[in-house]
Amino acid sequence: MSSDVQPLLPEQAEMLRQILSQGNDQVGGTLQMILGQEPHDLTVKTSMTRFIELDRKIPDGPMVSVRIQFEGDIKGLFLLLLPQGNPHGEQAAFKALFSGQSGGEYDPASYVRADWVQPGQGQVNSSDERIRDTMSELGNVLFGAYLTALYSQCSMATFLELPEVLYPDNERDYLTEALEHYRQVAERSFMVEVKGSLGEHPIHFWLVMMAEAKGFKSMLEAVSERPEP
Amino acid sequence: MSRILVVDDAQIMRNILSSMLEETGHEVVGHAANAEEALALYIQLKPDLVTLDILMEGADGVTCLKNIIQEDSQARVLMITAQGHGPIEQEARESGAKGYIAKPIEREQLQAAVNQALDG
Repeated sequence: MSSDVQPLLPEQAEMLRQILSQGNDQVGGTLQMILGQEPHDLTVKTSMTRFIELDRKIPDGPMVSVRIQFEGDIKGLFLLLLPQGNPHGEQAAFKALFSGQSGGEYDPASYVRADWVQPGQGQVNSSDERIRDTMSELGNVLFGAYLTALYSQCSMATFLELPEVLYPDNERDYLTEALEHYRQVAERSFMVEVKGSLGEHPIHFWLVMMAEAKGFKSMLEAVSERPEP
Repeated sequence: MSRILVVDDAQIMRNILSSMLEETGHEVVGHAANAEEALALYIQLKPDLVTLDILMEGADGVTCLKNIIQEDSQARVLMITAQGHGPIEQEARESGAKGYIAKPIEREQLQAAVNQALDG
């Protein structure tokens, strides 16, 4: 565990929340763009979470996981963790994202946007590929917004690598791998919990940012040096 | 009505952009999923405008932009990317992009950026 990790000062925490809120503000617009309909009752809750708590907060069970590495002034990775559902169908975020607009039963073959099937180059036909394609872009746009916020607020330039999608991720492999690695070099991560609904379906997923402790330290220094508005 | 080539490695984004562009009266003449396809289609179709993603597998969007500009110095290219921050935007503009917008995008925002890129 790194000795670089120090408690956040209240003003640092508040400034970080402001920076992250700029990224959080894009969540609704991103979901609406990707899904073609507006999510309702959307809450986007940000916290700085120790790894051990993060491991407990993310539920077990199959999920779709998106992993995007980033490099630049801070090096780390983002995870988008979307539970697929449980046997009782109570956790229906996956259904919400991939069922038909009319609220029909979940069918990966019928993608939420009616304009999916369109002649063109590079057509993706398999339903699994559609899910990977969509999740990849969802992660790309969501996390891009946070890096944009980081640059605009702290002048810290970071660059996304290509997204990797694991579907199905039955054993939380991406999360486990990330925790194993980042436990060696940091202690905590940013976690964003997104809840809301799309039609009749609840949406519930997590965005996680992990970075080396020195990256967080640089960010906190940049935050502290930020001029008063 | 302008003839537009849409370049993005994600099919979902190609379809979203195509829908938005067609709803605002433009004709989408082709889709490309990577830089190589984009250049080949640009040469074949000679569109009025290209919307171009930056983060793509293989050659990235800025490299693709440079290749298109090398082929046609008058090409109009609008960059549409998830990363809306300074250094990438600066490089794209210096490489000849007529505009740059960050995802997520709304139809009105796209329409304004397309009109500006076509007029620029």
